[in-house]
Amino acid sequence: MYLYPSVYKRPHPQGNLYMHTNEELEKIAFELETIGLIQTAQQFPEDVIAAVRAARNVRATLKPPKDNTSEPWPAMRVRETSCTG
Amino acid sequence: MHWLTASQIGKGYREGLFSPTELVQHLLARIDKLDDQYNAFIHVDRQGAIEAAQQAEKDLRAGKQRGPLHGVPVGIKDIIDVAGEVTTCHSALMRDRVAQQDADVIRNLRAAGAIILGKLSLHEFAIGGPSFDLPFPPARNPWNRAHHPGGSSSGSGTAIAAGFLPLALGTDTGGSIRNPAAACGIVGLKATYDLVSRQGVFPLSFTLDHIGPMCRSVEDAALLLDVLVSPSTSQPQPSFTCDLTRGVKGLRIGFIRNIHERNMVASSEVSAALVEAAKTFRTLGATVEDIELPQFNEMSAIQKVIQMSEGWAVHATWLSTHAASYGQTSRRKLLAGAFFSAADYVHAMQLRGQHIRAVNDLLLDYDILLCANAMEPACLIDDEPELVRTYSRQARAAFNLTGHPALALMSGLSKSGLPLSMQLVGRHFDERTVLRAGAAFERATNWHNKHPELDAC
Repeated sequence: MYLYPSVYKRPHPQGNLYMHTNEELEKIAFELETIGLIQTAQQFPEDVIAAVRAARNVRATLKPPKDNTSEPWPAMRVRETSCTG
Repeated sequence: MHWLTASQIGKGYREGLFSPTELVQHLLARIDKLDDQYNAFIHVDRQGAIEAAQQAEKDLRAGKQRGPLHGVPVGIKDIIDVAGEVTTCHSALMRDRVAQQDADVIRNLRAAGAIILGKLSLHEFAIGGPSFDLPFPPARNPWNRAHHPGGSSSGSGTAIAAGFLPLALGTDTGGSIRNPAAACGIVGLKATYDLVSRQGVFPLSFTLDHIGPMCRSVEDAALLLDVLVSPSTSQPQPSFTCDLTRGVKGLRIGFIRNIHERNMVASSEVSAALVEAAKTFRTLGATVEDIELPQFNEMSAIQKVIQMSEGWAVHATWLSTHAASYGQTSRRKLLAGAFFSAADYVHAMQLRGQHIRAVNDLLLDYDILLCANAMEPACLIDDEPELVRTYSRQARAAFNLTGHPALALMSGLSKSGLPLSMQLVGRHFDERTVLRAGAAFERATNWHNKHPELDAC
């Protein structure tokens, strides 16, 4: 399955990052289809790869919370203010 | 006349030194003469501004003052809706999108008597960069037009620093008010999250977006914030100008040094200016102590996950069907959000709460936090590798994550003649103390009265 041929065929200066097995390509194609980016990936493969890399770099610096049951950020209180003058 | 602050303009009107029409015509002539070099504006509303100035003049003659910004020209980042005008977001995608009504902040400005002079350029959808593949050229830095003016509220920073306007609105999701404030040597305020209405402003990241003032003095930031804060607030608010003259004697200031000394080593000029600022506050009677903001790097990463995920949610459909209509920089940045999972986003929001509490804890011991803004002066606008390298070398996004008010103001000039900047951060909804400290710094240092020698460019 070669829904992402331009990326598959393109050599990359940093190595064969884009050389995938058919199974891997199928997985990539499935993921791109799920998020609606098949057409965009065909049009702008370098941009999609750059985006994947940017997300991966950010995720690598982030550890999940120690307590995975903690409440996500709640709405902050608003309109609490006073003049000290 | 073009370097006057909004408060000086109001005084000038009251004393009959000049009229709104004279001021607006002067500024329009300056824009006509110079803006083709600086690209601050996407659209100048000449006719509307002149008519509004004439009306303001009539009102003044009749002894009627509509509000605190009567007859004061304001520029609007072109991501904020002004009824009847296109909100381009600096993007080909939005070139025909005419706003049907004013954003809340525009309504407030009109009610205060301000004159909308035009729409200002930005980074595409407030996330791109100084791109050359968009329908409008990128704004340039008035201190040196070969340099980046910061962003994403680039046109707002350029217009203020170039003497085109005394006041502008910017938006700030990861530092987009305070970055151009740093690069252009002006004042920029990101108030507490949700203090200023976001209605009518095209979103980048709902839980990180802030709208705020960009101007030439802390007093003007307070004046404009008074106007921007929704009048529909359930209880009357005291003015943000009320503490400006109190000085800093007795204030406890925490000087965060780890960000610019270890997390990302700032230029020697930025570091020296921060040390000098701490010294100034001590001389003025504040207690200044060195402190740490632990886990700063993690805060930046969490902010990115949230911004990218929420930005993707806004743009997913268009990026699937009209990707070619985006500039490359914003396309790449917005696409990154597609590759985070729902769990990544929820984890980031869980961690966000912890970091808000951590900064709140610091602010139990200190009234104000002093820290870096940009880690170096603005780089060349066409130096792509340097733009990429310096983009995330900043101490701003952490306070979008936590929602604390953060004021950017000029702290010096580099040897190359480019502005340096710092930040003052305060407790949630305690903009008054932040502005109070900023005003004291301005009185002691006078950096805010430095302007680029634009006409020589």
